[in-house]
Amino acid sequence: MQSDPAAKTHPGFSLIKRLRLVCAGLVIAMAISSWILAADHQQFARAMTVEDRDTTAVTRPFDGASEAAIATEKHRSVFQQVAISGVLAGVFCIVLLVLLQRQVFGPLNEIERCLGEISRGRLNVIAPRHGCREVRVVEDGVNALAADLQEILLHVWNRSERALQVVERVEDIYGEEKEGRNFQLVKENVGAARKELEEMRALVEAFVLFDVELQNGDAIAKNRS
Amino acid sequence: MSKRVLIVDDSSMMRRMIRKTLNDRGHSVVGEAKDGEEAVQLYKSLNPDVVTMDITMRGMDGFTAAKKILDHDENAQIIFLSNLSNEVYGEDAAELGAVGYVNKGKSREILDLIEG
Repeated sequence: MQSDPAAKTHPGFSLIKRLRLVCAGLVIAMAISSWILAADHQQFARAMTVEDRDTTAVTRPFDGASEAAIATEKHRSVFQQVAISGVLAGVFCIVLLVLLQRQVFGPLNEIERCLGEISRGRLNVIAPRHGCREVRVVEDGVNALAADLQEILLHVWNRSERALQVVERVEDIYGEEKEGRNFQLVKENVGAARKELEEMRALVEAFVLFDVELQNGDAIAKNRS
Repeated sequence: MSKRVLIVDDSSMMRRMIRKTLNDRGHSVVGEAKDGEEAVQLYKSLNPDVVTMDITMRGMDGFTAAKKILDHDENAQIIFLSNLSNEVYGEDAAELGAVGYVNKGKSREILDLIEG
């Protein structure tokens, strides 16, 4: 079973778990109520059967049914109504739970997984577009954020590549003029600029980009290289 | 002369930037698509003068979308706008029949291609 990364940083029950528990609780409550009612009805029917035997003489003049039989029939009717209502409520809860699982809980779990991956620098994940409309809006937002972040990183990568080329040109120029007045100062500053640029590029390289690989200063599409 | 442009890019930030670049020069953006599939549909319904097309996108990529658009309309004016290597993909874009290939770092160059 896949571990829940959010559970480590956000302890306690999530809304999803609470809703699942409420729905499961409702189904169990309905089942127990139906069972209790069924047992009660059986007990009542048995009691009425005994009473019916004892009072066989007391019958209605027109339809021939005893008072006990009529009472049993009424009780059965009430039991059937309550039982049908319980079954319908249970079915409704199960349908609701399945619907929520497919439209909300499942897609939200996917979004949670994608956000976890993105926070670990993997921009190559895509939040699948399924679930209800509200969830799809969130999924689109996650994909848009990942795309924007990749765009910024590629911009930094391309710009820093050009800046490094400038640094190299300056280094070449001053490499030939070692006797220059400010040679040492320029060398130190250019060296510091190079280090900063390399740090910047190391940050970009720490990410896994969507369909793009960074090779020798170039950004290459994985699917077309 | 003002052109009607369709912007195709999966990054909303880039779409905004391109839109501003075009609007500042009097061009109108008739639509925005965030993947190739949407781009093909919008091209057929909007029939823009020019398309700016990203290459890597979640969903259908830019080269596939450009092929589909050119199959539909061989006179389609497509400009690729990407962060990918110009040396590697510029030639592919030209072979495909695109008007040009511009690096996103120099996105103002699309104006030269549109107005040129």
